Amino acid sequence: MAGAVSVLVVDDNQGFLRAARAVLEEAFAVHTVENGTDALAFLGRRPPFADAPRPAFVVLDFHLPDMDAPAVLRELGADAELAAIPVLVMSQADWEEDAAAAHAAGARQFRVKPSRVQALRETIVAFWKEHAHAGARPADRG
Amino acid sequence: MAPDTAARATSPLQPENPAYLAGRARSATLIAAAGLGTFFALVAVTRNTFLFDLGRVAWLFSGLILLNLALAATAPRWAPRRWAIYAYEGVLVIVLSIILHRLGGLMMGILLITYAFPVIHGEMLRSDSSVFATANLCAACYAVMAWVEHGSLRDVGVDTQQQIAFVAIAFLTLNFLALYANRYGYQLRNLARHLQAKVAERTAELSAVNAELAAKARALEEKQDELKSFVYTVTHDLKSPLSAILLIADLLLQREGTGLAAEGREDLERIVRLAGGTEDMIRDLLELFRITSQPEAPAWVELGALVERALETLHPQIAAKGVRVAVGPLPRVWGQARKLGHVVSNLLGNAVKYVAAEHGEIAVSGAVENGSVRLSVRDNGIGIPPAYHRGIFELFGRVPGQEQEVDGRPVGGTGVGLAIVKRIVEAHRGSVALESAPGAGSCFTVRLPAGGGG
Repeated sequence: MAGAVSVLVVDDNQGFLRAARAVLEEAFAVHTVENGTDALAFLGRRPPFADAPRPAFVVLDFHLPDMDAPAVLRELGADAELAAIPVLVMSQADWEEDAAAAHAAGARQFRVKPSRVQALRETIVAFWKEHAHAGARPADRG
Repeated sequence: MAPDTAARATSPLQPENPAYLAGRARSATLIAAAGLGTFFALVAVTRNTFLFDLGRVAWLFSGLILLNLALAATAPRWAPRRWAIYAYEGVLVIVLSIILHRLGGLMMGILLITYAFPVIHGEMLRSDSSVFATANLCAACYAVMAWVEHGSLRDVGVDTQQQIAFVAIAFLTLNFLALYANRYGYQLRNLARHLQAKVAERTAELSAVNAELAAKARALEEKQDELKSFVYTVTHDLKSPLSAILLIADLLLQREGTGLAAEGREDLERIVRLAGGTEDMIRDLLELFRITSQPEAPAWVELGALVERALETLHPQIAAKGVRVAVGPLPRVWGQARKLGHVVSNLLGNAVKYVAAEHGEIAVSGAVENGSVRLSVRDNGIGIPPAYHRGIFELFGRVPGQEQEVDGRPVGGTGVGLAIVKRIVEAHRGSVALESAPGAGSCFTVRLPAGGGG
């Protein structure tokens, strides 16, 4: 979807990726990866994601198979350019410790994963409007 | 550490223990040095009164004091050897006798008393036959002194028979002194040793109990970790796919719903409803775990403030249903503020949920009664049939939906709220009671120990 705003969704649950894609494809160019290593490679444009677009924002699952969201965020934080990408961390449980860890590592927002399509759409669009929209350029800005 | 090893390690008073003997020898030689120093000072001060020749005894005094100090420093090396004790006592008594002789000898009849010190000192060093050896050596020195000073004694009118009698009395007196010193010293030491042994025994018992407690704490911690990983499993491996199922079913319903036959659409809606209900149960189960397992320091908690905060959160529902809420004066209680906040908000939330719109009345009251704090939440809602009074406090325990309709609609919920209430109240060593009948409203009463229960 050339010209659309890119978004990266990181989650190991295929069902969630399927739903997120369906919800977000109406408005964004959706890219998905299933673990933290791939997410970092995608964002850092390392093989096999050498020509990946720079997403306007990232939806990041808290519990990934290889690392958790704060670990991914800390890696991103080490790179000034990547650190500027807004990240929405989503988790199955509304645990204060997890939320605090995510925020401390640089997440813009921590939300419980909605399990209704409408709620998921609203959560992500609200995040986009609040954190990513102002500075967002079309997907090919990078 | 096994208890018996601990006992041995903590008791310094073992008979014939080298370290123990060395300790005794060190304190005895230090006391002897101090005693000799005092004696010398006394002699120096009174030299004009008694015409003592200080120059003839000064080096003997300082030699003995230095010897004692040197022996104190090297006590562990010689103290365990019996012959060393005899040699030391012998040197001490003989040098002391020479000093006494030079200070005037038996002319100073009072000097017999001075021999009491080496005897008692001998007992301090080691409570065995060496004490009697010291006593008899002292008496022998006294006899030698009598023999050496034979002439001068006769000059002052003490004849040979009297001198022999004095020496006999010296032998008897010093041996009796040795006997007493040895006997009472032995008893005192025995008592001390007995007490030390008892202390060591109790210490060993305590450390055994401590070790047991530490092991239990470790086991508990392991259980807690196990529980945490269990909860993580529930969260991630159970809730995650379920919410994905929900999302996809919902997606399907939104995308294809209009094109489906009524029956197909209803089935799809049923899937979403049922999966949603199960997801809510998992969510509330996690909530129960999270709330009840979070460590929290107890403090004084104003129940009035908790009620106020809960009512603020519930305001939208209260306003929508037009419920009237009356809050009486509430006491404070010693407990965990956040957990008790969950108790209050659960009870108030339930009350709001089960009263009819526009007729709902809720009364919150409290008091301190018989050393416990009471908090009651009364409503004029639909009430609870007695058959469910026990079950509703259990996990997922609820009155079946078709039996409880408010304003013509079944009330939703997972049946976790009151289980949370019961767990938190019981963790505070309190109790929760229910008075209710269908159509007569409900009154939940929480009682907590006024001064806190743990």
